[in-house]
Amino acid sequence: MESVEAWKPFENIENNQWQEAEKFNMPKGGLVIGHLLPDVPEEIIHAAGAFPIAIEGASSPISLSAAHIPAYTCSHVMGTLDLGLSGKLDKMDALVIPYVCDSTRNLSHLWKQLFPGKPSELLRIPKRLQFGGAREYLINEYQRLYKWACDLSGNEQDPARLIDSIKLYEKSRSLLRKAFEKHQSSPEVWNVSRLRSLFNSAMRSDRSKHIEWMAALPWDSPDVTNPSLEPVYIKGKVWDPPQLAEIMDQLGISLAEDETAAGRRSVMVEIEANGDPFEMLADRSLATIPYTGYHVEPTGLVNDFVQRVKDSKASGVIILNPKFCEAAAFDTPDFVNALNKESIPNLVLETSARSFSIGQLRLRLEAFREMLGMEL
Amino acid sequence: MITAGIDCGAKNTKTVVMKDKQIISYALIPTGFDQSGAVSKSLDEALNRAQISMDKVWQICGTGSGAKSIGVDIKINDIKAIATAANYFFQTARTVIDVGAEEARAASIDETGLVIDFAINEKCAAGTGAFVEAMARALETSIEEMGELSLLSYNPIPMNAQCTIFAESEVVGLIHSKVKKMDISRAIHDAIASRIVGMVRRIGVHDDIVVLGGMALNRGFLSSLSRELPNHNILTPRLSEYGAAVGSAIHATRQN
Repeated sequence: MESVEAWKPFENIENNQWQEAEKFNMPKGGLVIGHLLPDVPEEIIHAAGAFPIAIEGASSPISLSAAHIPAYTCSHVMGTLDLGLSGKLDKMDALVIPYVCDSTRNLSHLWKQLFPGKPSELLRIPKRLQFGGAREYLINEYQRLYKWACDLSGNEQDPARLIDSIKLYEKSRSLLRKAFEKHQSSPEVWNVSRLRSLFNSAMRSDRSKHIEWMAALPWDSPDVTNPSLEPVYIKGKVWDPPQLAEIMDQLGISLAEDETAAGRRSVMVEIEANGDPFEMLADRSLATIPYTGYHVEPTGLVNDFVQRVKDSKASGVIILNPKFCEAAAFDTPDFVNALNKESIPNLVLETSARSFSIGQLRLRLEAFREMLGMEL
Repeated sequence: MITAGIDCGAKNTKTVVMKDKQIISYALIPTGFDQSGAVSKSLDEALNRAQISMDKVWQICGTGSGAKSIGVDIKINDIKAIATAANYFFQTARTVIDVGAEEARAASIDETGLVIDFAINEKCAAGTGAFVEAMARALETSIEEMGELSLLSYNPIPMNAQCTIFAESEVVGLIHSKVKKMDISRAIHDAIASRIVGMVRRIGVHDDIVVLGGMALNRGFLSSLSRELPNHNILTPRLSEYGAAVGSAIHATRQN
């Protein structure tokens, strides 16, 4: 297969995010369960016999949701509600909302009122990750989620099946981690856009198929160091707007690390599928870099972040903040100050479908690209 | 060596011609809908004034929101252009503010004019030249007169609106409340200065601050800026409006 052809299945799903969910739903009437980011274990939904699909509202135009929530609500939450109200989630049967901030909690309440025919579940992720009871709490939440999903699908709860799902997803996650390494060693072929395409499509595919498609990728592409590429560290929630990856490729920016909820952070921690499946998933979640809304000792949080940036050998940091995301807005100044103290160039992009201009985005990235090259 | 820098902005297109890094000519043309036409006219006019033919120009460099319309090989982004210009005009400057018609930008620069950090206002007219134009219309005065009027005021009035449209309503309300024009003018300039300084503080404010762009010609705005940034030197070059074009022309001299 031509290497260009090998990337097509992933691009197709990026262009039609519901393609695989439709295939799952149409012949068998299978259950499609959407989930917001971050930190909803897709394996639990999969093990219940449903098709998990990630829902990202950040890039959606806002119109109908304005009648239900304040205009300054974060674009991710507002966009998700708009997707629902405009019928763009009609192929989805149910929704899991991770409780990571007040906005997601309120979205959960609104969702139940507005869409009584589309069941939803609020996954209460413990915010105080360093609290002794966090692990037990999370395990209980995962068990509750599994029961909810099984009740919806009509399947029996089966820990063995959940372990199989964890194994399948771990295989896929392992390939995605390998793809990230290929991006770093062969960034011309495995560029940012293609890498994003792999991660985006994974969250919207039948994972068995995704694994097959990934096997056909040009893994043997030669390692080529391109000194003109500037590696950056990406932090944030989702890649919003999606064109960001394309602009980065055009400007010669590569990824040293991507700790967005839709990026490498989502596959960062490797687990071995033996033991209690809920404990495995909880341990994986607790070992993952904390999301911005979680409560972690602030000095350690910032210091750990700066150390990760240094370890990554990035030339600079780009922080992607959804507009009106309070959690990110409160945390970001601390991160920026810490980076400035270490003379690490950084750029905060506050983006939203509501004030989206490719020209302005490009100008910011161009100027940032020129700032890079200084030694950390 | 003769070089030219062209800044195709949202409102005006500016060209600067330099000989051995000295400005010898400049021209400004309203951009309008035909960006390419404005670029050609502006360049022709600047060259004519300098009595220089195109074949004598070593390099031309373009910048600005309409940079795509500039048919030249070398283009730089607005941030680099203003940073280069600030360093050219005032070598002690480490902060540059550029307030154009549709966008306000600020950069923190090193002693060679390299950008260390930058900030750009969000997609909103408040904090740009367009804001002042809208307010001048509401006050039924010119921008120039509004700038001078505000210097006469010793009565600060808070202007609460964060948006150009609402601010215009607020100005109309103040007019109907018989507030003096000079006090309203000052309130307008204080509001825009406060917004811009808020943006500049994100990148750090240094002693010497260069102000470029059309708003640097507005003495009322500069006065408000000085009040917002006491103990700092606000520096404006003679051709402040041509700042980005100057930066581009300087950049053109660095090309082989």
